[in-house]
Amino acid sequence: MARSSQTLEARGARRSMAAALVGPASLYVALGVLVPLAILFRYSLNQFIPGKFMVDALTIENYVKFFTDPYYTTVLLRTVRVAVVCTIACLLAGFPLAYVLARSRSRFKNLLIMLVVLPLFVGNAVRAAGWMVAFGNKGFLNATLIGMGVITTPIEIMYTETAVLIGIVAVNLPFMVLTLQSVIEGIDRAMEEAAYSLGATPAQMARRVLVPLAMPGILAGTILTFILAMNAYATPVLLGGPKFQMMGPLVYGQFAQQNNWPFGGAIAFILMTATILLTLVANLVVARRGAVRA
Amino acid sequence: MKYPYGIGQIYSGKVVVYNPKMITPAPTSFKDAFDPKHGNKIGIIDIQYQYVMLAAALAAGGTVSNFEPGKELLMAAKKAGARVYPTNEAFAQALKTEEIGIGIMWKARAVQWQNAGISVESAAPTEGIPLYISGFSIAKNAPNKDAAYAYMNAMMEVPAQEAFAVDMGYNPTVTNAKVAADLQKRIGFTADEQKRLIDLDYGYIAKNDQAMKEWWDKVFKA
Repeated sequence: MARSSQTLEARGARRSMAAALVGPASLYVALGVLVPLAILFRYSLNQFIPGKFMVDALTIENYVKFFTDPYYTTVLLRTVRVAVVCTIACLLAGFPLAYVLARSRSRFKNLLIMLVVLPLFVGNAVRAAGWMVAFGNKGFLNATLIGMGVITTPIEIMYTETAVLIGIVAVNLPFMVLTLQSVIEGIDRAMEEAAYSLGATPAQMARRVLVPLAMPGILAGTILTFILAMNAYATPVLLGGPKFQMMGPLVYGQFAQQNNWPFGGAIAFILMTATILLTLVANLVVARRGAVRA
Repeated sequence: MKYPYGIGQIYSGKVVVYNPKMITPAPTSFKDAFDPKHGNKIGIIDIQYQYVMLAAALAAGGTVSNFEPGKELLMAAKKAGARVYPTNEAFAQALKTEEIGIGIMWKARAVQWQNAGISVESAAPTEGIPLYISGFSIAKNAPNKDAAYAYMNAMMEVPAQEAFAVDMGYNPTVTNAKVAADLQKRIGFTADEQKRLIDLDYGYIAKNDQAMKEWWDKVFKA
């Protein structure tokens, strides 16, 4: 009896200790993120009257406008498509690289990891500027190909979806590689050897052992790169050009150029909701697969 | 340049800019700038959509208070292959690489680009020269109005006005600033051209901006 009350007390103390530790960060998030979000949501229910800016109201017309206009729904679909393609490309290109990094015993391993992180030392906008120099009609790539006689007219890469995809993958790849590498490092090499000693081929081992064990990392990396791609701003603006619209620049345009805060707020919420929903769906699919396997 | 709500600090005008090596005969009007015969040598700046729509309107018989008539002309230019650039700088880059040869821009920018070694000339359009005025106002709830007035007085001072003409290619808005004759020729407007300077109908733009941008994004750039 005395013993259990003691543990209860200890448990209570530990709980209040935990609350004290979690408190500051939670308060910070609540004040810094949730309150502005609430204000923004309230704005998104206001009305915009040209010449008067924001007028107090309680209407869902901004949301209706977005979903009933094919122009805006196309922008949303395009954003989702770009984010999905970039995430898959990052996963396919990142996994082998992360595996090599995780299993490497080279003394240059830290240097290799630094090389993966190196692109993050330069901001998105600067990197996009670099791609612009490479992709322009008289840019590095076209000048080289024309000079070598491979093509006669320049390939139009700038201001296309391809340019945006290349740009975003380059930005997001390090995030995917680092997330996967840390998880793969935690998988005991003996697991792979056990699979081999039981007669598994490398492909079978990867499919039945490595990938399921790395699933938490795959999920985390996928979510991270997906969210980054959904909210990309500098890359679509600079590489996609004026005719290529994604959600991030659309939000900015409504706020900064049109002064239409209510509609901008609505678009921001739609973007956030879409990102959260798709992330949840990915989580559920993976969780169910895991359950089926078990 | 006084307004009920503020004052102009510097001004320039929207003119036709072109590469004389690529575009002959020299253009004289906005109508020439958007002429579909120039095909994909026409450059248009995305963030300048308001002025582009105004210039096209003037070329097609519209006014500063009615941009509608210009839309048809813009669509024809687009159909001919006109290229749209995101920013002023991207447009300048395209002029430099001769990807494009004609467009519209502030005269001051043409001067800056000439200084940067780009082969570009400007022509004051016959339809009228829409004014670009960079100005300042004081917000009603400004916490320090005295400082705001001091700032605005300082920017009207002769040395500041003259330095802006030299460095940026913009014209002074005060009469006592002196601009050297050769610079005046490059950045300024002749007496005849000054008669063609037209101020914008800011009220019209403020009321119609949302609709203009939606047409620009959904119809023109589609």
